[in-house]
Amino acid sequence: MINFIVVTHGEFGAYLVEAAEAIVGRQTAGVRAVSVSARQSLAEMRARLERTVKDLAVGDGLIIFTDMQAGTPVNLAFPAVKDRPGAALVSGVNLAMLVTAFSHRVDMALGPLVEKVLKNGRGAVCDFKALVQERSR
Amino acid sequence: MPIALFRIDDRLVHGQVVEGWLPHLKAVEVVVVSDAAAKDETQSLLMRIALPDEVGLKVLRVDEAVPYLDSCSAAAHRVLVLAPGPRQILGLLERGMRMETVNVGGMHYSAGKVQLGKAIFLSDEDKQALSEIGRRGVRLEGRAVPGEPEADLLELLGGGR
Repeated sequence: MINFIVVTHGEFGAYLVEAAEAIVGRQTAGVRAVSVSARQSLAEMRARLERTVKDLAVGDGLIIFTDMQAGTPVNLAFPAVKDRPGAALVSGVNLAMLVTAFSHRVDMALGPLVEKVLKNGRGAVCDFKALVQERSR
Repeated sequence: MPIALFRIDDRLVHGQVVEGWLPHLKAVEVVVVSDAAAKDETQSLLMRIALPDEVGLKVLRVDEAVPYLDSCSAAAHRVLVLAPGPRQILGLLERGMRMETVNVGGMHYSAGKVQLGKAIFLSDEDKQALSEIGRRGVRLEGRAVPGEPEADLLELLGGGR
């Protein structure tokens, strides 16, 4: 089973996990949200993320999701994964990515799951009105 | 058994259905039973776009759905039937359709309804229709997504069989 950590600015990650669980069901273990806040020092946040990574990097793999490509979540997460072959880091997390990740954490290995997550996450981003107009022609 | 699931869900095709039930049931066709949806082209189009390309979609009136679903019983593929409320399911039963179980996934809040489960809110009319479905020997299980435990709705309704 693949585990996940969602690292975001503020509580976005916790709410994203809650929304994904509403769609595909509650994840009983191996999913954590870590928020980056102005009320905590960088050192505190780094220590918290490192503890969380240590807790969850135990199964068949770990994916850390961050909200943006640049920013504190990635700055904290990259050092935590760079020397761990079983851990991936994926930026730009959206609901489609988490739903895909939760749906396939048992039946897919880390590499293919990362690819699928990226494909579905990108696929969810579109000019929806233009898509509907094109499909209705 | 070609009808993999009968489901009451007022949101019809949405995330829980596309990401949860379809892969769980390995269903390759969705039949929406709703007089209102059957005449709403935009809604049908949005449902079509939401479903994977390889999954078929039919949006039928209650009266059209009965012969169509009967013809599905000979088909090899698995079908998921979605109805927006208990009245449509009752309509199928009244027209001779047979089913053992109906999944009640989402009947969302509107004013004056009472809550029975996390996403199940019922008006008096809903309660009557569900009780009537139960009286016809159909099991009603409340569950939004496949991994959740089933809730026995007839027992919660207090009527029962």
